[in-house]
Amino acid sequence: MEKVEELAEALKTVEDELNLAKRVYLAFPFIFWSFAIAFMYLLNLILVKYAGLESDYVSVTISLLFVAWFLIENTRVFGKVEAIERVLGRRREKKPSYAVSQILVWFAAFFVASYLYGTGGKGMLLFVGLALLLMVAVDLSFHRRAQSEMVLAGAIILSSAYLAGKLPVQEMAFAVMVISSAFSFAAFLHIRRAMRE
Amino acid sequence: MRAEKLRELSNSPLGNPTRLAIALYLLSRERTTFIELARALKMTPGNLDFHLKALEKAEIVKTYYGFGKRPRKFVELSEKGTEELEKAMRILREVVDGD
Repeated sequence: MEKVEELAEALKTVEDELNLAKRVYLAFPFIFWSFAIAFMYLLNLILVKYAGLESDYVSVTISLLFVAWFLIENTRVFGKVEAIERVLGRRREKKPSYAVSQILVWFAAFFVASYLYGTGGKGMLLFVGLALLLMVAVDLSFHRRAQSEMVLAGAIILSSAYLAGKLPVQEMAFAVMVISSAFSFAAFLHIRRAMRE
Repeated sequence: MRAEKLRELSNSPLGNPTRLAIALYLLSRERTTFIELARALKMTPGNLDFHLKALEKAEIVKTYYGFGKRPRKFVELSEKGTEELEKAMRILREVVDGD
């Protein structure tokens, strides 16, 4: 009997460690985009200024490269999360409609934001903030739960759109700062919660 | 019932506690180096090599060499390894729950 109790304790420790690892992996998109947004903006400025390239062409190319990089990395991360969940006995049902909905919300948010505010800083804040909140809605409708960190990041970004152009800083620079810090904050909360649970 | 479950586990490639620990360590990582694995699990290189060879034979782990300042041996869990780990953990949970 004592041996079974010891085994139960060991099993609990293993499961706690795996849950911690899973939560850290889930913070990956926030960490990636918090550095990528700022890096993309700086790279765009440097290339336009010193390589004489056209701004629109450079920003679209850089954005596509970073999105591709993110998709490759995130696929690996998602594979790990899925493997951990399987070992923890929580096999998640694969729903292609969930993945499609997640992609569609980004297109929907882009169309709404560009229609209302164009592709400037304000439009970018509306695009990212709205997309995050729509992702939360998708999570709620498919899994009946959502990440509070994503709600918070979406709300911060969306509400900051009101301040864009009203502060003594360039609109796009302001948008980049807001998105980058909101994502860093979400990642911080995510990892802190993982450490405490 | 418990004895039966434990017998089932001991017959699997992860029936050995050291091999189970190696697989669990690798599960939460994309890959690790041989040296790091030996250090984390407090094993001698010879002992780790012995268990890794058995796991590799059972297709639980994959090992390959990469280059940095010096050649390094990398270890990662395979898809079959995840499946076996899933089975082993399920058996252990059943043993604990007494089902």
